[in-house]
Amino acid sequence: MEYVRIPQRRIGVLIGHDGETRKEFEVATGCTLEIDSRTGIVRVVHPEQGDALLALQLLAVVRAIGRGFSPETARELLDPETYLEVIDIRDHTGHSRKRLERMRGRVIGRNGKTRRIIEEQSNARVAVQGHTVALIGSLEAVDAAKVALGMLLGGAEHGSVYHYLEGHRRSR
Amino acid sequence: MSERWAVAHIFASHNNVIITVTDATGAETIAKCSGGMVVRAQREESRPHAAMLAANQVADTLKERGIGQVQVRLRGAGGKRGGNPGPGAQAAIRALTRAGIRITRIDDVTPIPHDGGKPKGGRRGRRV
Repeated sequence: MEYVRIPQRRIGVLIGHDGETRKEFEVATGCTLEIDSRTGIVRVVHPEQGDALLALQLLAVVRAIGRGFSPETARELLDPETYLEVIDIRDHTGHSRKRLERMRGRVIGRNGKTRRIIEEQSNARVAVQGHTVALIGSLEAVDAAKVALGMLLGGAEHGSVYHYLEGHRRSR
Repeated sequence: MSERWAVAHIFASHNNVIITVTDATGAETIAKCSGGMVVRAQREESRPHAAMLAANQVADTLKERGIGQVQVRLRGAGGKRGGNPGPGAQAAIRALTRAGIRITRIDDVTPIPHDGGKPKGGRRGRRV
């Protein structure tokens, strides 16, 4: 039995209208979700005879939803070839609130332009929430997006990041 | 279940995957394999493919010894290095299942700091 804590405001997303989303995931994996909406702790309980790996994947799904992904996107994690990667922006900015805000802006770009380009070129999905950037995609896609984000967070110009992504897309 | 069982410790970091199968006490090693033992390139050691090959080797030994089911203790680089099990973890578990080993449970035993060491990086964060 495993658990993960997600932000208060993401709990509603995990549960969905009349528990629709939650039920959908429970049926898909055969596991049960125990959600404590006061503390935000979500436990994944899997049956004795069930597939233990599915429980692990469901945990990743819950985590992805907690990090700002929509349930539809997070659902892709039930595919074993899809990976979730969570990058902490504070690893690059330290504790400064202002730097954190600026970095979030750099990753998203005007009207989400930068995020859109990263998603399109690397084929990974990107979600920025709080102090994290989360990625969902194939191993290769997530790796490429991770390098691009590392460049952005390390202070590289947007142009050079786009250039890197372009090169990555060509090499595929 | 009259079958014999064992514990599979899977350490999946971002740089490597190490699988050690022991008896229930953890004192006696039954089989072990790592990413570096199955692939040439260093950068491939943590890849799902390496994890799969390593898991297959382990599974072969297990079958020789007549062990049909394992408990998995999954671990990522923990403590101040933080982080979750790397990309090899799922692949290793899946390969074990495919090889006909029954997995009874999966525990995540990644060490969690109770405010232990100081992580890498300073005031301006970690610069690569």
